[in-house]
Amino acid sequence: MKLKKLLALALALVLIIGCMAACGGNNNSSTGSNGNDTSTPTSEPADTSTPDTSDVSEPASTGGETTAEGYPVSDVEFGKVNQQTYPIVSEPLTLSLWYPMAGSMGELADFNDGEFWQWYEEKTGIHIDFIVPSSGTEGEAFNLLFASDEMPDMAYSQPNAGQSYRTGEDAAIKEGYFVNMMDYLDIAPNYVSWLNSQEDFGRAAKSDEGNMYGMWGVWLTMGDECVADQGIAIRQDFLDKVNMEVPTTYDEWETVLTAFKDQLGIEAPFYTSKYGIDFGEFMAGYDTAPYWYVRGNKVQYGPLDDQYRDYLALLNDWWNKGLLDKDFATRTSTGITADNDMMLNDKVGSLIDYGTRMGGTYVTRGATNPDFFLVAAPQPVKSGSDAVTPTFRNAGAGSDHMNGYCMVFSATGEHIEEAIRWNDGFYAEDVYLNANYGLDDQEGVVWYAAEDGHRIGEYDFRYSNPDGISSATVLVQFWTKNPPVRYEASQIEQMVDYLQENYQVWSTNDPTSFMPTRVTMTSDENTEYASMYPDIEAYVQECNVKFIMGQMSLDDYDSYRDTLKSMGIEDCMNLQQAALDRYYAR
Amino acid sequence: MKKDASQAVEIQVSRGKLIKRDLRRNWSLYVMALFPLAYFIIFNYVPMGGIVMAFQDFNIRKGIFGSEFVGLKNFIRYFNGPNFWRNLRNTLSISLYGLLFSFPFPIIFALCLNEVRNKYFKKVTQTISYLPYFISVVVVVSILNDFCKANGLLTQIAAFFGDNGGALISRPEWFQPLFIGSNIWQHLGYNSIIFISALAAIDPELYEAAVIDGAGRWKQTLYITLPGIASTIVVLLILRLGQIMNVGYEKIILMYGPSTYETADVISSYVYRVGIVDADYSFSTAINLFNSVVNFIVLFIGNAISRKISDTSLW
Repeated sequence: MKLKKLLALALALVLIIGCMAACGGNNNSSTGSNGNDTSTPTSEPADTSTPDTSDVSEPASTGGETTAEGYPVSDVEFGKVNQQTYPIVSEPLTLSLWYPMAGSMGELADFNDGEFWQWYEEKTGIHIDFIVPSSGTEGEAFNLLFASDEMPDMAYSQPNAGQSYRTGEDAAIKEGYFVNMMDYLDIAPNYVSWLNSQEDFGRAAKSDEGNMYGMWGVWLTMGDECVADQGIAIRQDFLDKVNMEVPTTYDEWETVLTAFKDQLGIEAPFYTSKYGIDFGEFMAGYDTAPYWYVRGNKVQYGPLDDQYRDYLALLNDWWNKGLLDKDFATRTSTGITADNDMMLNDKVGSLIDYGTRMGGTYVTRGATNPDFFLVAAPQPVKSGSDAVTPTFRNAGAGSDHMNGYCMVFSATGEHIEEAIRWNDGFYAEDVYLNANYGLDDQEGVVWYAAEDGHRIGEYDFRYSNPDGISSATVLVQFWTKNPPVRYEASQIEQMVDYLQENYQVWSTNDPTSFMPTRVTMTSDENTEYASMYPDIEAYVQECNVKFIMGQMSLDDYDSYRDTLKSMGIEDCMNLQQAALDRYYAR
Repeated sequence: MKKDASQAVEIQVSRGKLIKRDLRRNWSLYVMALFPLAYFIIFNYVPMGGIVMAFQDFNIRKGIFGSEFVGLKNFIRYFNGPNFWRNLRNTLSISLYGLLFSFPFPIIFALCLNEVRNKYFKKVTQTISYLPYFISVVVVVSILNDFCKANGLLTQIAAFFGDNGGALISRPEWFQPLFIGSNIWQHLGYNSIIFISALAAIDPELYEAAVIDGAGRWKQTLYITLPGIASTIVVLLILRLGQIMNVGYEKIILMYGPSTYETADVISSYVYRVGIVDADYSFSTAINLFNSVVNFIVLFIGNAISRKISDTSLW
């Protein structure tokens, strides 16, 4: 009898577990309803006479005049003079900041342990509560902010990296999630100085509907053109072993990769991302691009091109010859971070990588081979008369002097003004120099002054730190990662000469086909686009891999293109084109 | 008639008394039952209201009561979309193959274990067999990934038997066998517990009687053991049928990649991509609702069949 009871209990348990599992699916899909809020949207500026803000000092008055773009007139250029008064608050205040930088925390447990953040907290009187979503889930985490009603005071988001509101930035403002920055420009004089003095930046900062999503990050280029900070990298020590030069054409590449494989036994002579194709650096010599690009003011979609098919044929050929990473399709990283085991154990011959990882830096990251040495390779071209100058590379950071980040402010936050003033400080020279190079009093340790007085980071302090701090940790402990005004030079100028040359190699060709990052769609367009394009892109990524691995035949490329058309690629293209036309007309 | 009525009243009174007495005696059990009841109401019944999103163009700010109704638009979009047939096919095949292969294994395992006479060996085997259940699915998948890479153990073994297609994990034809196989490995021991306890409930006298009648081990299994646990098997089978369309997305999204979408992308993983990654809540709700409706129909049919051919059913 006891056993029967036990059995009954066990059965009942299974029943309950079964029911929970069966209903679990419903929970997932309806979590959105838990966070729904029917309160009226408040896109109006908050009342400025709340007790907390009474101590806030007024910024320099702008007199109500506006520029042609609709920005307040300012006398200061490029944030040379800080127009905020400090401290921003007299009573200690804590603001929450969504900060998707988990990948670059180094060994810091909290960004507040960083010297810059401590200094800035002392200066402003505002303590920051960093909300750091886990690495790789930033886009999802950002989506959940809208659904969960836990919108932080500020979010330092990367709209072009999936951290955007589904129906677009105008909708996010209209529906009352974020403030329209246009209403607050009078309390952000430092930011306004950038809008006025950096023409393309000022134009790109507004949407077509005239709203401003937030405070956009500035990318301060070294020269007129923006320098590529990532590109094709190849192992110089391997090249020496097989007695070859850095390849420049696809044919030479094949010879070199074959030598890597046959003579050195390298597992992955060419390491690609999990989608098989790169960010455009390597394929641009075929006169095409990974996804959207521009040719003569017309929007193009790479996978529809014959050239794209030819490039896939090349990769398919290399796959069959064993020149690609055999496990590329199951690598977890979607970006350019290579698998550690592969990189550090001499299994990779060439890859796409960042400028800061060139030379022997992988040795300090734990590479087993002390001779490990990466150099930049130029974008390859076809041989002979077929050669086309590449016009595409990843210029996502730097186009229009935008650094890709945008600080957005919750419209329902209680301290909107303080948050904006806090962030506005980053656009003033005294703050952004510290954020990019290290604090003023760290001269001679973290940075030194060049002859003309501008700061240059200490290479040895960062890359062979006397206290043994890793270079990734130095970056966040003494500087900040991607501050709102980012100096392109800050990471490049400190490099020893041969590392600086890499950037020149990558930047030889202008990325004229690159689609401007600030092409914006209206809410309706966005809704339509979002109902079609994610499926298309997933399908393209899937088919790329299949074409390369030979699971799909390139003879079927036309029917593949027809499938893309039936999925609505032409409608998507029209939407992109309309948005691009408006962008040019701004 | 009068007599009957008064009898009924008497019975009712006594039944009312019975309930009162029952409540008084077992109040602690009822209080304990309140918590699971609250759990189901709060987490399973109240969120069901969210289903209405499937028929709306849901906007978080406008909420369920303010969003515009669009009828069946989301369903039509899914049925006409490029993913519908593939998702359905993969969901059904992973689930049916899973049922076909992973359901009998714990039963066979329990039967085998039942025949083992050495108690120590039995306990050790059972403990080892359900250890994998406690490994996180993330770890299981990374082990699987390592084994099935181009140079992984399983790929090497396949190559030894003449397979030359490269890494198993990136090949669509291998996805489902790997998925189901690793599931069996992980859940075999744990799922057999219920059968082992059912086996223990069988009256030993039946076996003694069978031995006297001259039945060997095999006959005993066939005529005593299996009928003894038949009702358990049927109930569990019906429950499994009710989940035929529920393939957990967690393991799928950990395991799949662009090269295996073809055989790996199921309804739940698509719902995850649409709902969580793309934040298209209405669309994902519609897909999931479709999924649940199919589940319910299968459960209903399965239960009806079972009631017809055996005495065991859920309701």
